[in-house]
Amino acid sequence: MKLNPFKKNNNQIYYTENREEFIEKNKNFIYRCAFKVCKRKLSWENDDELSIALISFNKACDTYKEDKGNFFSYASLLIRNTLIDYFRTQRNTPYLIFDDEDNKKDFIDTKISLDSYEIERENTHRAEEIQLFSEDLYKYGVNFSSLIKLSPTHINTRNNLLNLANKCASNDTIMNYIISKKKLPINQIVLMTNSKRKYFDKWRKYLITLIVLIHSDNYPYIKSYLNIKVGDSNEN
Amino acid sequence: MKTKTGIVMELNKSSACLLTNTGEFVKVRINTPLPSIGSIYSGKVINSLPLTKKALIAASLTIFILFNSMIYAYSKPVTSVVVDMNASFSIKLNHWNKIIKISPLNQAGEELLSSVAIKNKELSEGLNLLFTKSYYKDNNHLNEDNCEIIIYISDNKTINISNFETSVKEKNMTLSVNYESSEKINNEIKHQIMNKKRNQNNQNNSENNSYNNGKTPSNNSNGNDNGTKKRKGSE
Repeated sequence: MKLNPFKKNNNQIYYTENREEFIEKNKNFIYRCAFKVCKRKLSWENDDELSIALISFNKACDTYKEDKGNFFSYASLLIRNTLIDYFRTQRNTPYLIFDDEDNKKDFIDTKISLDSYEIERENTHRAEEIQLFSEDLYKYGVNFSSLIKLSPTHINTRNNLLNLANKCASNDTIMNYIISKKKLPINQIVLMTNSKRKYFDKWRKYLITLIVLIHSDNYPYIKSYLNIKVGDSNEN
Repeated sequence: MKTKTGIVMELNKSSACLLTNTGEFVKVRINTPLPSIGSIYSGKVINSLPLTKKALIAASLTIFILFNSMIYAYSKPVTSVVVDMNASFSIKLNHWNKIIKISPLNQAGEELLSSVAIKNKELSEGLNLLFTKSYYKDNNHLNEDNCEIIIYISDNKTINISNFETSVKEKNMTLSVNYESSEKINNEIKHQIMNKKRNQNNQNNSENNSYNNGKTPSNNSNGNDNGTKKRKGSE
């Protein structure tokens, strides 16, 4: 029986008093979420990632509302997004990748099953975000149909661009330039990274899309759908 | 076609743009029931070539087909001509009266052909070449006056061979042109080829026999028979 701790029928004491107990019970869940993103064994004492995950879980308890759908998928969404943002602020930003194999490794008991109402809610949220996203991209001269032709087919290229976007998003001057002029400051980016100018001309629109997606806080559902994980830096 | 899963970002008439969980924007085919924007959908990927590639492929295909059909039309035999000027030939012409195939029908013809390049020339020009070559050859019979050259043309086709006619007249010979049905001409050609083969076989046999004659006396009768056969074939 699935216990939704925040339904009015269940004890509302979870909401304020038994928060600590509730978090204790779900430590496993929190660990698994963080493990999936970081892809390495984590320890509660040493690793910052786990404390960040805890904080996000707490925040999810605070901000959860019925219309956000299933609580656990909402919590894992928050945890994932916060961790990705956290990586950006670290000095040695790890190499991020789009992970393709996530689905195969999940055991049955770790998958979050959603009922149709919850799926509906998620879809609605995503649709709202997509609307905002397409309006935002329009200001940069990008639309989804053009992205179909312009998104790189090889996953390594996409990983590369993901990391470039991450670097740009953490650099304030570049972001200011992008937001004010709606263009990429290609010279600055070429200086900052070791990539060639031709590379940017080719993937300009896709890179802009990624930067907008990563930097903004308005697209949590879309961002968490992308399987962004920590990868080996050897995969360059 | 591969199937891909992702968030529906945009809907069109028969396709949708998905964003996959590996960050790829793809175009997929949509079936009923239609998905809504924001839902997660799986569909078959539509691969569309850019316009310039399509145009290039179409153009190269048409050129290829055109080229092949031109070659086919050029080398299709339409008229059959048999020439007898002591050296006999069977000539096949295409629509434009160019010689596409010429085959000798007797020994003299074979010898003559080996020294003349006649393919792809107009009929008149080709006949002229053959005629002049054979006229100036050492052992030809055309040098005798009032020799007749006979030409058979299939299916009542009127072909301009006036050049040839004039050059024949200059050498005091007559040219007769007959129009026959293509059936008759083909039969005539077959008949001539059979004769030619028989002649060749007889020649080979007689050579073998004359070699054997030195060894076994019992082959004498064969030698005589061969002699009579030879005479028949040379008619």
